[in-house]
Amino acid sequence: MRQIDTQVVVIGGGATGVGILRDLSLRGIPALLLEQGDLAHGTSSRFHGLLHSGGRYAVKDDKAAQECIEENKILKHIAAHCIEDTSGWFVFLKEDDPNYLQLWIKGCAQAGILVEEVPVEEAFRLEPLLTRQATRVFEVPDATVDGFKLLWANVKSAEKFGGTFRTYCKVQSLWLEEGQVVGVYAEDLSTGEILQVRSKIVVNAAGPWSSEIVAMSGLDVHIQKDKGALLVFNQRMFNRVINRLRPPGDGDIFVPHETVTIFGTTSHWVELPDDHQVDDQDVKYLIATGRDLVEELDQHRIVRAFAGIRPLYESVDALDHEGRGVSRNFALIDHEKKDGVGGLVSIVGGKLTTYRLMAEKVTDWVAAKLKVPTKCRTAEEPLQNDPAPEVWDKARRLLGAAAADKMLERLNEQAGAVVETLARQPLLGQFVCECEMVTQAEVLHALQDPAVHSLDDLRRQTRLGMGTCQGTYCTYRATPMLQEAFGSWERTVKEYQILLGERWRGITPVLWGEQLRESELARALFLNVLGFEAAESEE
Amino acid sequence: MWDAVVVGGGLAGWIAGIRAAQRGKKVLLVTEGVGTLFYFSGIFDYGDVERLCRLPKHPYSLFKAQVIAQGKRFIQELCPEYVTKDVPQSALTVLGTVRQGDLMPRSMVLPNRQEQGKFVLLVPEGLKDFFPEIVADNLAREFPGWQVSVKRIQVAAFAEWTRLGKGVTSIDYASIWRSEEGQSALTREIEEIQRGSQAVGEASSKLVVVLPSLVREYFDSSRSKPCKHEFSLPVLEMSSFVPSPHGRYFAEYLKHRFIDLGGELMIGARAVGINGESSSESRVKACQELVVDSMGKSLYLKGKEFILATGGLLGGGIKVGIARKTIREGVFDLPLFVPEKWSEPQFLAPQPFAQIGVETDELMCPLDPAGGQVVWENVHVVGRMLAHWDPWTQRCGGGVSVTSGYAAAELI
Repeated sequence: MRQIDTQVVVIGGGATGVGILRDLSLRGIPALLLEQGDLAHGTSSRFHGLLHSGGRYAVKDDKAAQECIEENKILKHIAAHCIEDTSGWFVFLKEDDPNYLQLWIKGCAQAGILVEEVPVEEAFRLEPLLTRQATRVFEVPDATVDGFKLLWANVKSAEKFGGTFRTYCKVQSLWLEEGQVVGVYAEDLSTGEILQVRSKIVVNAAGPWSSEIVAMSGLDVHIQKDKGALLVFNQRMFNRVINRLRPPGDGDIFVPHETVTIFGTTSHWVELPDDHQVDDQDVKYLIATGRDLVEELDQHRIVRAFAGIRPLYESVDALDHEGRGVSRNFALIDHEKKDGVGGLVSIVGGKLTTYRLMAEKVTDWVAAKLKVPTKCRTAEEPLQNDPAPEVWDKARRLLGAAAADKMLERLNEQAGAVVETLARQPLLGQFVCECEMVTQAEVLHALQDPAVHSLDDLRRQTRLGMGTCQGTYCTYRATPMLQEAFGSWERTVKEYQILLGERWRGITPVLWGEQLRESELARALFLNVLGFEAAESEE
Repeated sequence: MWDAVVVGGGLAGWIAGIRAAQRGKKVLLVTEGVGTLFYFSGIFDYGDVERLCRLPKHPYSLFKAQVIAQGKRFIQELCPEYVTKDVPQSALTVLGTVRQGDLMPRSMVLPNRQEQGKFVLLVPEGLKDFFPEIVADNLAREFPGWQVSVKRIQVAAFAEWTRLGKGVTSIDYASIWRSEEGQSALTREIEEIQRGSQAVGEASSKLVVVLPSLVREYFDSSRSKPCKHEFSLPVLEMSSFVPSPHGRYFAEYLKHRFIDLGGELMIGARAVGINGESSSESRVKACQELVVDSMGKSLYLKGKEFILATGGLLGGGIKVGIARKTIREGVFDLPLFVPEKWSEPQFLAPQPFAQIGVETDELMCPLDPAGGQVVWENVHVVGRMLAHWDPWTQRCGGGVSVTSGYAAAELI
C-alpha cells in the first residue's frame, strides 16, 4: 500500500474537479485529483459542447443566465484555444409563442446578454439549412467548447503550480477517523496498487457518481441523474450554434464542432451514473424534433449517437419532477453542517459553462478552512500561453496552413515539440486521421503522455476516430505507433477491438443510410482486407 | 434489344457480362462506377462451401457443386496466374499477418512455414499506409524458422515527393512496378539482394523477397507488355489495402476483356427504374426495358433478360432510409428479405443486417418473401444483392459473387 500525504483530495476528473485542482494549485494549496477513468470520460465530454451565453436560461432562471454570461466572457479570455467563438442564434418560428419572445428579450437584457436581431433574409443567406419557418433570428454570444481540451489544459496548468492528478484511480472508501474524513483509500486500476491518501479536506466532485461517493460513508446527496442523448451529424451543418427560441426543451440545439455537428438533447431520469445507452426511441424523437429547425434533416448523415448524465442537484424545495424543472444551478454541501462529518464537501449540479465559478466557490470554502488568504486568480490567468509566432510559421511551412492551424489549436503551447519532430522527420507529417488532420508526429507526442493508457484515451486527446470515418482508417493508420506504445501485437489488436467496439456502440442506434454503408465498408476492411478474426455471435 | 442487360459493374456484374459475351450473347453492362473492386485484396474467398451449402437459404444452396467449380475455373481462365488447391492457401495481409484464401495469384501463396529461410521485405520509400516494422515483426512471429530483414527501395519518379514528406499510394507504386522503368529498378534491387546474400555465404538458404502490391496479374497482351515473369529471387506479393491496386488493375482488365468480346458498356449511368408488364399466360411479370439516368438524360434500354448486380448495402443497390423507415432495392423495387433484429453488439460478429437482400429461386429470379412466387421471370439477381449471407464473417465474398455471376450468364 502506497501512502500519500496532501492537503486536499479532489474526487472526479470532470470539468469541476480539474477546475478545483487548478484553483487550489494557483493558490499554492497542495492537492491530488483522483479519477476512476480517463479525464473527461463522463459528463464533461458527453454533452453538446456548447458554451452557453445564458440565453437558454434567460426566462426561467435569471441567476443561471447571469452566471453563464459572466463565465462565458471569462472562458473566452482564459481558454481561448478551447473555444470557437461561433456566436449563437435563437430562432423564433411561426408557431412559437410571441409572449415567450418578449420575456426572453427582457430576460437577456436583465442578465446582461447582448442580443442583436439578424434580418431573416440575411439569416437564410448565412445559414442556408435553417428552416424557412423562422420568422425572427437573434444573435447572442454563444460559442462552442472542446471539453477534452479544456480539461487537459486545466490539469496541465495545475501541474505547473504543483497540482497532481491520477487517472484510472478509483476511490474505494472514505477514510474516517472519529467521525471526520481524513483522506481516502483508492485503487490504481492499472497496477492494482492500493493508495492510502491522507488529507485535510476531501472534495467530492464526482458528478453523476457523487451520491455513490458519499454513500461509502452512509451519507446522502440528492442528485438526479438526467440522461441526455445527442446525435452527431457528419457535416458542419451550421457555422453558429442554433437554438430554438422557446422554453428550453428537447432536440432544440445544434452545435458545430470541427467537421461535425452535435444535435440534442433529451432528458430522462436514470438510475446508473454510467447509463450511456441511447435507445431507438430517443433517436427517432430527436430526429422528429430536429426537423423543426432543419426541414431537410433526413438528407443528412448521422454518424453516431451518444448520451451523457447531467448530475442535477435536487434541492429540498424542488417540487417539479421533470428533469428540466430541477435547478441547473449548483450547490456546495458542507457535510459537517449537513451530517456532522467534517473534512468533506460535495459540489453538485451546475453545468460545464460555469465549471470555473463552481471551482472558485469550492476553493474559497477550502481556503477558508485551511486559513489560506490567497485570492482566486482563475478568472484572469489564461490556461495556456499561445505558441510563439515562429512556431506557427514553421508549422505552416511543414504542414500547410490548414493542417498546421488545426494542430496548433489542438496542442497550443505543446505544439513546439511536435513541430521540431516534424522538421527532423518530414514523413511523420503524414496524416493518421484525414478527417481531423492529425499527423503521425502528433499521435506519437500524445502517446508519450503517461496519462495515455489506451487507444480510447488517445482518441480523447487527439480526436482520432472522432471524425467522419469513425475510426475505420485512422485506427489502422495508428498501428505502428500503438504497437510501439503498447508493446505486443496481441495488445495492439485488442486495443483496435476496444476502440472499434466503443465506436460501434455509438453507431448502432443510427445504423442506416450512408453510415450503414460506411459500417459495411469497415467490416470489409477489418474482416477481409486485414484478415481479423470474426467474433462469435452471441446467439 | 440486348440479350442481356447487366446492371452494376462490380465483380458479379463483370463476371456475368464477360461470360454472357463469351457465349456469343449481345450484352450491355450499365454501371455508375467501378463498384467495390476498389477494396479488392486480390484474393477470392470461397469459405467453407460444404457447410455454407447446407445453411438454409444461403446463396450457395442455389447452385450445384459443379457450377461453383465452373465459376472457379472461369476465373483461372481469365487470370491464369490464379491458383487454387483443395485446402485453403495462405497469403499475407498488408499488416504481414497470415490470412487464408481460396483462389489467389501464385505469387501471393506463402511458402511452407516448416521450411527455413530468409525474407527480405522490400519497402518502397514513402509508401502510404504501410508499416514495415509491423510487417517484419508479424512475419517473424508467423514464420518462426525464418529470418526477416528490411530493405528500402526508392524510385526516381517519387524521390522529390517523399523528400517533402508526402506519401505515395500503393496504386502509384503499382503503376511504376508495371512499367519498364519499375521492372528494371526491381530487377537491379533483387540482384543486389542476391549478391549481398552470396557475399555472406547465405547462398544455400532459401531467400524470398516480399513486396507490397506488386500486381503482376491482369496483363492484357493486346494492350500492354506483361510483367517480367522471373526475377533472380522468388518474389512474394502481399495482398492489397485500399485503395487497392489489385482492384484497380483487375477492374480495368475485366473491362477490356468484356469489350474485346463484343460487350457494350455504359459507364456513369445510374439505373433508376424499369418498364414491364405481366405476360399474358400467368401473373408473372417480364421486364421490358430499363430506365437509366445518364448525364441528366433518361435512356430506355430494352433487353430479353436483366441481371441485377448493384452490390447490396455497400454497393448502393439497397438503400436504407432514416430510422429504417424505408428499405429499398433501387432499380426494380424488388421485395427484400429484412432481418428482424438489425445488429449485434460486437462489431466483428456476424451482423444480421448483412443478411438483407433479394430471395430468389434456383434461376436467381426474385421471389416475394411473403408468398414465395416469382416477381420477374426475366430478372436474375447476383452477388451481394442476394439475401442470407455475410461475405465478411463467412469469408465467401468472391465465391458467391463469381458463382452467381457465372451461373446467371449461363441462363441467358
